[in-house]
This record gives sequence, C-alpha cells and structure tokens, in this order.
Amino acid sequence: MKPGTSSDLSTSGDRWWTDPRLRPGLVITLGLGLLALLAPVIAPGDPAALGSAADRLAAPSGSHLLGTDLLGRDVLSRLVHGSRVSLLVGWVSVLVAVLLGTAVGLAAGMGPRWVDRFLMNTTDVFLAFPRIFLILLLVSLTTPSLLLVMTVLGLTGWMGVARLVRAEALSLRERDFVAAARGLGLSSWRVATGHVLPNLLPTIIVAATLRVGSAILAESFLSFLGLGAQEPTVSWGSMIQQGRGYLLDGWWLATFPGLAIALTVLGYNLLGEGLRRRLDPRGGREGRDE
Amino acid sequence: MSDLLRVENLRVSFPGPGPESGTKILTGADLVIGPGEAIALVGPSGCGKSLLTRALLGLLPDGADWTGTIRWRGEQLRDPRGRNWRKVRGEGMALVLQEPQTSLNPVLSVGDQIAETVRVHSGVSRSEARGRAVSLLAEMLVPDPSEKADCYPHQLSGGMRQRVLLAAAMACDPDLLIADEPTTALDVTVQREILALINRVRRDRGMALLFITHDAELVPLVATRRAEMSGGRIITHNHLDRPAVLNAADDSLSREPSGGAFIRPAGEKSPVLKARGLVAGYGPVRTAACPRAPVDGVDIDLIPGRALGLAGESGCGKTTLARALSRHLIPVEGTIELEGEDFLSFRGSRLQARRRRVQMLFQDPAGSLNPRQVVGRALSEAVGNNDPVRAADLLTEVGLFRELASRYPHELSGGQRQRVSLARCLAADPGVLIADEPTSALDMGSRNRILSLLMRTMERRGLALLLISHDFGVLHAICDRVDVMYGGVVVESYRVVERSRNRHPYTLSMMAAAPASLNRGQRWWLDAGKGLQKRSGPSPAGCPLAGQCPLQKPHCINELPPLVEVAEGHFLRCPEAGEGGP
Repeated sequence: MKPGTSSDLSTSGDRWWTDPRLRPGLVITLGLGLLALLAPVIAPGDPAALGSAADRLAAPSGSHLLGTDLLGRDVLSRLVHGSRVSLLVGWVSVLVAVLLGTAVGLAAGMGPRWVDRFLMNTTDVFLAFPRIFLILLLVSLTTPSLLLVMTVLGLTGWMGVARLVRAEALSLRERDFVAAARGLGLSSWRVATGHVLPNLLPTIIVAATLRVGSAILAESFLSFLGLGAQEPTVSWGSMIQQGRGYLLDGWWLATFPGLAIALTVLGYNLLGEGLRRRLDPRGGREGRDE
Repeated sequence: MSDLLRVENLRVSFPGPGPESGTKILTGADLVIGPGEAIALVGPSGCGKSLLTRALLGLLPDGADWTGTIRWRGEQLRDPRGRNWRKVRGEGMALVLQEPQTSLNPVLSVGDQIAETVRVHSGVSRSEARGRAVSLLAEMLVPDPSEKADCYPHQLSGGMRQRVLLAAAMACDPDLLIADEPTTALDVTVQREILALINRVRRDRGMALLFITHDAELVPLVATRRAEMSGGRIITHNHLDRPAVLNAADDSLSREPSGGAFIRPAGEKSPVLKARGLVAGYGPVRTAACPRAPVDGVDIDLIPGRALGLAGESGCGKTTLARALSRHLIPVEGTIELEGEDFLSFRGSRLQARRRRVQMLFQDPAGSLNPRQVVGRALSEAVGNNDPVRAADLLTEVGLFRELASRYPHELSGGQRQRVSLARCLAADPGVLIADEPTSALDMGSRNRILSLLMRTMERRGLALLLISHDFGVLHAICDRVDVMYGGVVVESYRVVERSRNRHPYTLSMMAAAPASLNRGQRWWLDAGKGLQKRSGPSPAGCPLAGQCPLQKPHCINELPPLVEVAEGHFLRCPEAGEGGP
C-alpha cells in the first residue's frame, strides 16, 4: 500500500489496531461495549437483589468488591448494568442527532440557496434555545423515561452536526469530481448521496464519536436530577444521585459511578480525537503522495 | 580539485517500520558542483530529487539511513547535527523551495523574517538587520522595498513571495543556492521573471546554483550543465554550450506544420458547440472597480474532429470560460448553441441528458475523481447503465489494464488517474471535450503520453476538443487554431499553420516565456528586450494590456480595440501590432 492513504476508511482496515493514535480510545470504548453487552454474565450478582440488613451500606470487601448501597444491592453489579443505559442513551441519541444533522446539513450545503438560508436560520433558532432548559422542560412536563431522554437529546443535538456537514459539503461541491458527476447528468440527489456523502463520512464519524461522550454526560445529569432512567433501571447518574447524601459514610456509592462516567467520556473523546487525526489527511502523517 | 560540493555514491533508504519501509530512494548518486557553476537537476516526480537536496543539507527525515560521502570544499561532512555541517547549512548553502506560501511564516512581516535570518548569521543590531533586509529586497527587484518589508506574506503575490524567499536565502551570503522547483507554483510569465532574477543574482554574487526541476524546458534558461536523475541515481551529465536547445521530449511532440500529417482535408464541418458574446463570472460582474467580467464577450466555435487551443496565463478567464461552456457556471450574457439547440434553456432531466454531450477533463486528476469510488464504479456510473463490460472497454480505450477497475484513485499514478478521467468523459459519449490544462499536474513523460492519447481519441471519435493550456508548444502540436485570451477577452485568434510574425504583444510575451515556441521571425521580441511592464493601478476599461504594453498608444487606455481579421483566418485585437518588428 502506498503512503498517504490515511484519509481512507475502506482500505486501511489492517492498520486500525496498530495505530497508536487510536489504541487507548479503542481499548476503553470496546471494553465498555463488551461490558454492556455481556452485563448479565460479567456482573457478580443481580443488580436489584436486596441484601440482608447486615449487608446495607457495606464498604468494599471480598464479598462485595465495590461495596453495597442503602438497600444492600451490590454496587459492582449495578455499575456493570448501568453501563448499558449510559451507552444506549449515548449511542441512540447521537444516532438521532447525526442522522438529522446530516440530512439538514447536506440539504443546506447541496440544495439551492433558499433551502440553505431557510435551514441554516432554523438551525440558528435551535442553537439559540438553552438546550438544558429545553430538556428539563420537556422531561418534567411528561413522565420521565429513557426513550424520552434519548429522543430529546437527539432532537436538541443535531445543530452542530448540521453546520459541520453543511460547511464540508459547501467545499466538496466545488471540487472537480462533483462537477464531473454533474457533467455526466447525474441528478442532484445522486450527486449528494453518491459523491458528496461518502466523502463526508470521516467528518461525520468523528463528530459522532466526540458527541457520544457529551450525550452520556447529559444522560447522567438528567438521571441525577431524577428525570432520566427510573427504578428499577440502573443508571450511573441515578447511582450518583442516591450516593450524594453519603459521601462520608458511603463514599463508594457516588465515587465509582462517577469514575465510570469519567472513564467513558474520556474513552470516547480519545477515540474521537484519534479518529480525527487518522482520518484528516492534514493531521499527523504526510499528505498525498502526488 | 577545488570543488565546492562533491557527492559520491550517496544512498538513502528507509528501513524499519513505516509506510516507506525498505524502499531505497537514492541508489548511489554522484554529483560535483564547482564554484559559481549552475547545474540543473532534472527528473520526474518521485525520482529522489528533493531527498537529494535534503541529504546535502543534512536534513533527512528521521528514520532515513544514508551512506556515501558528501564533501564541502574538500572537507567531509559526517554528522548532520555536528558543527561543520551546521556551519555549511548556515553560511554555505541556502535553500529555496517550491511553495512560497508555506515556506513563509504567515504571522510575521516579510521584513522581520529576512532580518531574523540576517541577525542569526551576522549578529548585527535590529535596525541594521532591518536595513539589510530592505536592501536585499531591493536587490531582488522588489518595488518599494521598505514598504513591502512591512507586508505579511498573504499580502504579496506568489512571484513576490518567491522574491522574498530568495532575499532571505541571500541573507547569509551563500556559496551555493539550492532551488527546489522554485517556479513550479507560478504562472509562465512570473516564472520567467523569477528565473531571470535567479540568473542575475547568481552572476552578480558568483554563487553556484543547483536548480531542481521536472520541467526540462527551463533548464537552458538557468543552467550551464544538466544532470538527469532517474531511479535514485544521476544518469547523465550534459554540458549545455548552446543555450535554448529543444529537448528530446519536445521533439516527439512538435509536429511542424510542414509535416503532411498535420494538415487535414479542407471543408469545415459545422460547429457542434457555438458560443456568442459570452459574459461570465462569479458574483456581480462589471462593477465600477473592475469594469470587465472574468469572461467578457467571447465567441467560440468548436468543430467535430478539430482542436481549438485556448492560451493565456492564470487568471485570464480560461477556466471560467470552460466552466461556462460546460454549463457548470451559468453565463450572465450570451448564447451557447449545442448541436443546434439552445444549451442554456435546458432544465431538469433534459439538461441532465443533453449536458452529457459536453464533457470536461480537469487539470488535477487527483481532485476530479471521487476518492471513495473505485475506478470501475466511477466508469459504470458514467456509462449510465452500470455495465461493467463497457467500463472495462473504456479502460482499454485509454490504454489501461482492465484490472485497474477495482482500484481506488489514490492507488493510481497521476497519469493513470488522468486516463481514468478521460475514460469517464468518453463514457458519456460526448461531442465536445473541454480539457482544462489536462497535463500541467503531470511530469514530462506522462504529459506527452496523455497529449497523444487526447489527440488520437479526438481523431478516432470525431470529438470537438477545446484544449486549454499556457504552453504554446503543446497547443501548436495538437490544435488547428489557437485563441489567446487575456483579461477576459480573446486578443488574438490564429491558425497554427500560419506562422505570422504579426502577433499580439500579449501572445509574444507568453511565447517568450517558452522561447522554443517562437519561430525565427518572432524572435525580434526577445532580442529587442521588449516585455510587458508590471501593471500598477486598476485594470483599464480599454485594452486589457494597457499600462503594460510597449506598443501602447493613448487610445488603448479607454477603448477596447475590435478583433480584426488581419489576414485570412487570423484575428487580432491590436491595431499597433506588427509595427514593432524589424
């Protein structure tokens, strides 16, 4: 393989593992993904099983590696199961945001000028809303549920993606290969989806990865306020909320979920940053060979 | 022996992990440069020219292994980080690179950057260094040097930036100037000025020059000796006793009009594409500040089986015209008739079908292919019915192996990419092919092969070809007629067989940039030392050349002369032309 293929997604699969820029992020995020997938197998016990009176608020020990909570439930088991909620919310809400943002951005970047103006003004209006208050308002007006959290996070998170995609599409549409495609009589739809969109993929993937971290943070925040995941579903945010009153007597209650959130966000940011450096031909290695 | 620099058996390779691992770039290069000698090092891209210069300077990239001897004034240089080599880098050799934009720091004024170099080497005071910087700029013929010293790089033109880099290189008063493709990023006329400047500075200072280029035509203009590089070693040395000889690569192309093959049977076919009074540009055109549009009233006839050349320097409107003709840009005024129909009135699916008849071959083959599409898919998409057999046939037609269909563009060489682009154009079965500088991004070898492929394709398919180039050698070899464009208008249109000495001043100045394309009768222009002046002030409303032209008369400033037929088939937009010759 020639040098300078760093911008290509499809042909450099063999080197993903060995790329030092990606390794830390990949290890953390893949590890967490496995943890969430295999939660029932990995977790030492049932996250909802109540312990005996003696087991309540027990410090970390041999029988409960990370201690127990007020109801005697095993913190490690709850932590492992909680990863499912965090990752699910993170990924689904980002997926919603990215799909919506890409559609809006591509339409604005490739469409006629009035479409661009309309869509970008709409985006500006959405950006002007204080996101967190919008979420709080919507969630508190209805019954809190995970589905609602995911939808709301998705519907309020697409604007950044839309702007990114539009900017990139505006520059791509001036490239010669797009002119060549138009010259061959392809329809605007075909040009946008067949030629511009595939070249946007690296940008979109990086943006999505970097946003997963912040979506996970947002979910924890909502759950901490009691507006996210509801019992018996375990979530890291609600675990912190429950441990908040026992920072001295039961420091393990809030500390471990807090660390888990921090590690997850760090993992996705590292992965996103690594992807950006790998997929952006101007970052890191040398550019094209000709 | 009093050599300045002697390189023997220099080998460079990249062992260890990494994309280039195990490749040997230089495989035993020998080079001797005497004091004050000017050597041109010629070779295709990727032959190791640039790596050789970096080895000379002791600036090889990390991980490179080198063996061989490099002697500077008889003293062997061993350790790239050692004191000897550092001293040579600082005071003995200076380097000027291709891209003046990236070689200059964008946030420092150019005067400060030159002064910094002066201070590092001579340790003079700030104000003294600044004075030296200004005088160096003056030596490089920068107008208003003390004002220009306060400019930032982005405020200067490409040619001016290259002068600044030369000034900075001269700050340490080197014995050897290494110029690595210093004019490649510039257009022809500026290129020639920079070359003349390098020549003059070299003579004045008695400095040696190692001039690296892929463009063999430049060699006789700057060098007394020519070294050719291929496959990591230097294969030939020639002394150039007589200046300005044609090189072999050119001979294969230039078919003199006397050759029988060139003249085609008479009887003009009717044009397949006919443009009248085209006015085009981006954004508002014909504003008060700039009275002329990028393309301002151009007529074009493209005839099946014929090639029309369009010449002009960068910025003259060639590419805007090409985009307007192919309807990638809607003209502001004028008409385009395609096969008898009004091309500009088409909309929707009718446009999608009809525009396939006009295909465009772009300058940069890397940018004109979708990087995420394999060649086969790009071609079958272009055919329209996703027929892989037809796609493979197209590859064969442009001289490529069918196996290339599964490759991505980045896995191809520049020449191969340009062939694929051509195949994609042919897939649409066009009547008109517009080739916008199709070879300027390629090295000499692929350039000639692509041009002959273009010509064969045109003849076999009966295409009407519009070839845009600033290289008159290429245009004269391929085209039947050449239109010369400047400032948005056609200033001259002539048949190539007609070798008149009566030329528009702008045509002559462009031809003078590549002296080989001037015939004997036209050399008066060079000999008389006439040339275009640098324009100061806004572009005029009259002749676009006003303010620059040695033949200028008062009326040129305010009225645009008409395009007049001065001889049969020869149109000229200059009433004064033809009187300057002896």
